[in-house]
Order: sequence, then structure tokens, then C-alpha cells
Amino acid sequence: MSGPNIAKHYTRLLALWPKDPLRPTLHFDKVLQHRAAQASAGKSDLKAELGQINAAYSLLENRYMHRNPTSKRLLSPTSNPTYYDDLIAELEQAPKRSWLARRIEGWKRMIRFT
Amino acid sequence: MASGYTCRACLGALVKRTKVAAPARRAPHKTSNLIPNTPLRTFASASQQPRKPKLRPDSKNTSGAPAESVIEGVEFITAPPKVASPGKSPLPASTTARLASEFRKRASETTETYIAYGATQPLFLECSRPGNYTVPQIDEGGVAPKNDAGEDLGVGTGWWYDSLGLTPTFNTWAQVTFLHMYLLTVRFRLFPKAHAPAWHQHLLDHFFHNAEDRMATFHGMVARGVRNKYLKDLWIQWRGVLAAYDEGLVKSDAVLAAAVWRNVFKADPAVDVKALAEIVSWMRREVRRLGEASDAEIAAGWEFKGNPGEEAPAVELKSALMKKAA
Repeated sequence: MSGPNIAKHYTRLLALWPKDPLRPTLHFDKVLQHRAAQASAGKSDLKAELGQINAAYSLLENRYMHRNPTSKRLLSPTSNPTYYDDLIAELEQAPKRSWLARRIEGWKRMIRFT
Repeated sequence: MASGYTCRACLGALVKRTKVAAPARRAPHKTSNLIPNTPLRTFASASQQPRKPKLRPDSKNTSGAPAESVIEGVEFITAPPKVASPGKSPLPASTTARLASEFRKRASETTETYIAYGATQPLFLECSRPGNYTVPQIDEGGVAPKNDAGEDLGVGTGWWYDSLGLTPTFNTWAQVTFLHMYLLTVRFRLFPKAHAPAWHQHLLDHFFHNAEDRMATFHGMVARGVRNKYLKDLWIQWRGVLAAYDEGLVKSDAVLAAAVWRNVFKADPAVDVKALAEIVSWMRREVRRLGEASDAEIAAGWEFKGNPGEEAPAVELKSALMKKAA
């Protein structure tokens, strides 16, 4: 019963898991694929495996973010109100930069004209 | 001002100006009986003395003797002193409180860094406590045993080692400590703009001092060059941890879980996803608790509540997404 079910769950988890262009060699998909392979080879305990799949789904549905939301005060800190916005913007920009653009960004950080 | 403490010099100036009896203002600090007349400056300089490594296996940290006095001394960094008792001051209590806070505002730049240095020492020790390990072989004049990967093996207790099953190595300690330091860092960002950098910096300094102590004591790294190489590597790891956990905090649980997986579990494909979810849940719970505490409460000392294992019931709840798929 749960053999093909488990495989179906892992396929769905792999499809739903958020992509990470910044760390292409260290994607969480590795974990899901490893577990799927273990399950299909019959090396894993059924109940334990379903527990793991449930945990993965709970992470996808942001259960813990809803239970303990981060307040606006924390996300707009007094000492640097735009910190998180700037960080997310930078993390989104970073994989798209060319080699030369990365070099120039490094120089901008190192050299100060004022 | 982040901590709200008035140093002795400021206090002396206030007493001269307002003719209020100084002992009345310090009445709430019961620990002043244990360490009488210990101003914050001597407390701060005590923690700056060179620390001899402590070589007992049951010591809670490797940083040596001053830790105890530092933890006692930090009792001074509490919420602002309560107003003077009625009948002891000719002025109304609110006037003296207002004068005190005015003075703190003016002298805060000078004193804040010393307060931050002192207060972050026990905060760091609290971060280091869950992942703490020792190497008993050192006491017997030997060297640390190595595991299959060639890392020095220590001995550690607590949820992270006993339940989660991490191996007590230097790197594990560093990553578990980073996780806890990250939670405090998120809170420090809420300190006033002028003071937050000092708090961040001093917490990090305590970590790196302790890391170097461990390298020299437990791992036989006598040469400064070798230690510096690993310290630089640790610095890069810390910056990576900051960016990754911040991204996870803002974006989603899945991103935060992936960040913890990469850092604490070294991207091990055979990781326990349930444990990852417990850690994510615990981190968010602690961030929320930290956000609800005031600046003075943080400066006075912080204790992380429980461990990620307590989140197991929340993790085991059946997921709606799973029911939909099946």
C-alpha cells in the first residue's frame, strides 16, 4: 500500500520544495532523493518514513512560521530598518551577476572615496 | 540606551547634583552583598585579563576562572534602578529618575561598550552551553582521539549530542553555538543604532576567544598560524550562517531548514527531517521569545528555554498537504 505512496510523496515534495539558485551543489533535494532511493530499495521502516515525509510537508506549509510569527518589530530592526530587505535583494541579485560584475562589487566594498 | 545601567562615576555626579542618598538607589541589587563595592569598570577589566585554560573535564567552559565572577558581576546589569524609597529623598522620585536617565543619555556612548563587553560574556556562555564538549584525555597528558573523518573527538552531553546524535567535535560545537548566537544577533539588531554594533562585536569576540582557547587546550594547536587559519575559516562560516539563517527567517520554514541542514548537519543526505523540523520550530519560538523581552532583560542575561526536542508534538501533527496528496 504505502510503497508506491511513499514514492509519490517524495516526487511531490521534490516538486514543491523551493528552488535555491545561490547554492546549486547543496540543494535539499539531495535529502529527499536519498530517502526516496532508500524507501524504494526497501531499506526503511514504513512508519518512520511517513513521519519524515510528514515533517517535510510541515516545513513546506510553513507551520512553524505561523505558530511563532516573526513580529514586524523584529523584521524592521531599530538599528537598521532595511537590513532584511537589503539582504534578500542582494541574495536575489547575486546568482545573476557575471564574473566582472562580481569583481566590481568587491572593489566597491573595498574602496571608499569619502 | 540598551542596558539602562548607571556607572559609579555618573552616580557620583548625580548624587552631588541632587543630594540623593546613593545606597537607596542601589537597594534592589541583593548581590551587592556578595561583591561589595565592585564598580562595573573593574568587572569589565577582570574579563579582559588573559585567561588560563581550565583543564578539568567537568568544567562548563574552557575559558578559565573569571567566568564565575563575571556571571556574578553581571547581576549589576539589570533594569534601571527603582526610584528612591519614600522618605529618603527630599525630591520627588520621578525627578531623580528623570535626571538619572538624562545623564545616562549623555554618558551612554562612553559606557555602553564596557557594559556590552561584560554582558555578552555570560550571553556567549549560554550560547556555548548546549554544544559544549570537553576532551578528558588532555588531563591525562594525552591527545584527543580521532574519528573516521580525522576530526578530534570530545565528550559532550545534552539534546544535541544525546538525542540528535551529533558527534562532539570542534566544528559541531562551533555550529551549534553559531545557531544560538544567531538568535541573539537577531535580537541585538533591535538595540539603538548607536549601541547595536558594540553588542554584535563583543559577542563575536567572546566566541573567537573561546574558540582559540579550545584549539590550544583541546586540540593541541600550539602554533598561532594554524589557529589563525581556522579562525579565519570560522569567520567565513559565521558570515555564511548569518546570511543563510536570515534568509530562512524571512522567507520560509523550508529555506530555514535547508540552511540548518547545510550548516549544522554539513549537508548530510541521511539527515533526520523530523529533527530538522524540531530545530526550525524551536528557533522560531526562541526568536519570538527574544522579541518579546525588553532590551534591559536581554542585557541582564538570557537563558534559552528547553531544547528542540520539546517541539516533537508540534512536528508530529498530521500535515494537511500530506492528506491532500494521499
